[in-house]
Amino acid sequence: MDLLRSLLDNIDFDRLLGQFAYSPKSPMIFNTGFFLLLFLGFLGIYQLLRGHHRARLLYVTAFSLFFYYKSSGWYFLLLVFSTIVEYNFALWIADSSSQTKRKLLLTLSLIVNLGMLFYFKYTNFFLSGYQALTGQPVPVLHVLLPVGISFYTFQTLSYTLDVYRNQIKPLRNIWDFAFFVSFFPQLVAGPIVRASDFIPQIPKKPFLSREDMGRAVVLIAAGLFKKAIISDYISLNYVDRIFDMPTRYSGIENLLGVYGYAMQIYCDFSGYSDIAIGIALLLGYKLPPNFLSPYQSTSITEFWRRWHISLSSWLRDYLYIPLGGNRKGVVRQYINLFLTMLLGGLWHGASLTFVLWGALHGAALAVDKLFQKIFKPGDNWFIKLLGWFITFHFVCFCWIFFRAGTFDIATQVIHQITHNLRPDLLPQVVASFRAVFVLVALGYLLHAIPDGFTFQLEGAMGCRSVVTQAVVVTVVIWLVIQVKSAEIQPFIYFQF
Amino acid sequence: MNSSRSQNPFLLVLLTVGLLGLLSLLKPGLTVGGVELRPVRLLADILRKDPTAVARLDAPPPNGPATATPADTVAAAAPPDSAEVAAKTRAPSVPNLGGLDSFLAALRQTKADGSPVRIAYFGDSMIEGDLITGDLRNSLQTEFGGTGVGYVPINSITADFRGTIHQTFSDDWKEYNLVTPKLPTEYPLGISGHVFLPRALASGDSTAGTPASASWAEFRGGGPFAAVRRFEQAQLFYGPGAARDEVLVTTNGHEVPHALTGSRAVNAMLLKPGVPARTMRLAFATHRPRPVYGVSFESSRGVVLDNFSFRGNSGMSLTRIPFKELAAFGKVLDYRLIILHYGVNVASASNKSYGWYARAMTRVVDRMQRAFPNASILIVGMSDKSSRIDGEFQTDPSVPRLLAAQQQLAQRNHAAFWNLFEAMGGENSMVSWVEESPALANKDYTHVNSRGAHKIAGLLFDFLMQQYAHPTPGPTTKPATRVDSSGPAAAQTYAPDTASAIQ
Repeated sequence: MDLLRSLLDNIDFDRLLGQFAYSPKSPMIFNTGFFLLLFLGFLGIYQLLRGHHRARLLYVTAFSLFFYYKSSGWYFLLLVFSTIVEYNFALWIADSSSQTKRKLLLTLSLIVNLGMLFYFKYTNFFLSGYQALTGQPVPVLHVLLPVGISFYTFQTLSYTLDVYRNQIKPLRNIWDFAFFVSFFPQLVAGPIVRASDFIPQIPKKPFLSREDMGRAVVLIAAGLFKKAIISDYISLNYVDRIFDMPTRYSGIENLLGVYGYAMQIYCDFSGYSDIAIGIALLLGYKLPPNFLSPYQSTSITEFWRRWHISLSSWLRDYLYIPLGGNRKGVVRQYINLFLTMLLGGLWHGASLTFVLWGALHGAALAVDKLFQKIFKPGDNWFIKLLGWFITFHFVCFCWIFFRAGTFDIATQVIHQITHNLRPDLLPQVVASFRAVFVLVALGYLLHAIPDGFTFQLEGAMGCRSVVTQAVVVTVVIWLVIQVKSAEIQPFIYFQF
Repeated sequence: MNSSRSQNPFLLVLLTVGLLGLLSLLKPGLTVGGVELRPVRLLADILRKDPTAVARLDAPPPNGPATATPADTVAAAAPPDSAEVAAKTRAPSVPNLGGLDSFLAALRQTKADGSPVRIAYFGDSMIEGDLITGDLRNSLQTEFGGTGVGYVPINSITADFRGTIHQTFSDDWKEYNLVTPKLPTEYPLGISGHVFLPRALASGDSTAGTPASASWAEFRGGGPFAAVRRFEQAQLFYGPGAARDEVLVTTNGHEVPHALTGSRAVNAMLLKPGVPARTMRLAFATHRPRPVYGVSFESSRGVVLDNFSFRGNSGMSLTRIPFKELAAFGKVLDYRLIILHYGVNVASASNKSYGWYARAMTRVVDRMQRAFPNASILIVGMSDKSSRIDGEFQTDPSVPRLLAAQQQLAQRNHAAFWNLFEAMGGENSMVSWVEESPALANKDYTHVNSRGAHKIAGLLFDFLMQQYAHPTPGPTTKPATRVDSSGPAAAQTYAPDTASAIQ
């Protein structure tokens, strides 16, 4: 009791309230202490509302909007706007019998949705491009990018398109639709959930089986480990430094920086997805998997079936196939692949480096298709190993452009690797950044674990008591705290 | 257990929070296998901040040229040790004019009649690739005239990427430098901290002219600053060697052989292309190992600023350049200002005091003063550098301590002092430089990037111009009262200069 009283005495209510306010510098992310406490409070009420369908949905939607407000401030109104507009467009499309009218409505919906995405994300990109081409000065707009806009616009787009294609029936209650659009676990960083996967779950009473609970615990624990331990540590203590000034480091350090970044982005992205999927699972909703050990791929085509699956399948269904897919001859197929990936690159960020990244992947997909067609390579272990080696290094090479931000930096990284490799420094580099490379190696080791083992682990976790499960999560959070507050590695420049 | 019952996720999270709450009760400072465990503070974001927990920084010294620290603000409780007392009563061996006076007088002369003024800027990785110095040189040359990037060593770690000059060279040069474990006495290090030996020609090689296989170095002007894009004139610095050695200089497509006739410790050869050149190639036909130091691109009027960067240097290893050699450079290079900008390789949280550093650097300053008697010395106090303390980036506690030592160093040696830390914005400025958009500093929370370097150069230029317009009175000889209790032993425990892998 005394403990509680002293705790209450110590709470700084201004700071407590401040935690709930919009703060662009501390967006709402899962791997924070504040989220954990908030989620605890949220879940308490959520459990009480389990039997009250409408109240529960409204409650989650309100929480989701708050969640978004915390990261994006008044931009949460965009989410509300998007919800209202798309809900109505879908209804009008579904209720309209004239094909022309349906087409018109769909076009309008696309204009609103993509227009919003374009305005916030690409205006300055195209303005500066126009300036570079014409030499005429163009004012730069000071627009902040609303968090997660790329994710939720794609999500609502898929809904309207599916309704247009008669693949799903539109929702007849706007609150249901708002619940789908704003569902906070995947709201700001994916996975991009398809309406067809999610909508059928809305009317059901959430049910969390033992297996699901085990799976959620494994996903959250592994996700936290990947995101908050591996990714955060290696980026701060190594990778960021390399990409800040590649010329300060020898080629071997740059090369390790690239391998490190490949692990960092995978852990960051897939880890966060895993936490999102795990949290959704705790609430009783199943989201599709987003990453399936992508660096195990033995071809670039396979890579895109394992990497950011919710995006690549979205691009396939709503861009590649409408462009004609493989139905209009081989040449058109290759062009379609290339275009799809080019736009997919641009989706990741408004910069030419992302466009090049997409173009490289697009070209590689086309080359892979052609190669498979002509040579029909066998299935022996050597071909597989060779395929894996080439695929992994090609993906890493493309990451250089993805991470660099500018072509200058990318060129410098490549130049250092090709001209100043200095492999003799390797032992010193590894010894100086031991913790970093232990984590990178651990990341790759965990990555090599077959999926079957993960399923077994999830099953085993489901059979454990909730206390054991809580201990597992606690241990990982405790590790996160240790890593988060650890001192950073001192900088080291080697003579080369 | 009925597997068809829905599990309760609330219980899972509640237990997790409870377990973390228990962990937060653990005594702080627990260690496991020598590693200190970080405390769990689940409510850190909403609890009142404990004022005693906030790391207290020592007050950083004030800015300005060797301003004497008021005794009352820094009077230390500990009695001064005898070495300190001895050090502060010793006058500099060669009294110069004090502060920046010598430099400012030269600069006024330059403004009046264009006579040349030469500046040496020594530093570590902070100035590598002409960071800071490139912008500073450009500002000075714009204001006072002059062209050229100044002294460039034959070979450099930044050769491919230095924005203000591009260097290529054959791979057969032999190099010794400040971190070479054992230095040969016959090839002393030059002013940049390097000495290079071209491959000596075999006796079978042709005796007349320079064979194609000779060691070579090529320089190409370029970059953002107009004043350094073309070579108006150049000086080659080399040591003694065989009488029939020669260097083949190629500019604007003309090849001109020059005999390396100098036999002094440092010889300067003036190279003046008919029209300012874009590239210059030097191929060395030497018959015995002969030290070659570097080439300086300059003009006969205005400002020349040399960048002497050496990564990992704390400044202390400059004493590895033999004094005789330094003095020999002093005969051919008339410096009016020598800037010493060090610190990021010295500051470390484990060091509680830097008296040893001030003493070691006193030797460096003393040698500079004797080798370049006309030069003012400016000590640039270190930039802000952050550490992560309890999960938050903040100014490393060693920074103000080192700054105090650097200021003390300036004071004792009648040198000027510029407090870069304060100029950047003082405490925690590095954090905001990293977080600024676009960023001014790198994620190592130590090094600035080109934008940050540009900003620092502007701040330093402003400081110099302010002194130029209103010179403050020369430094007082009043001794500093701040003392450090640690003896020189501390210097031995931290000797980054000699490590092969260095910070």
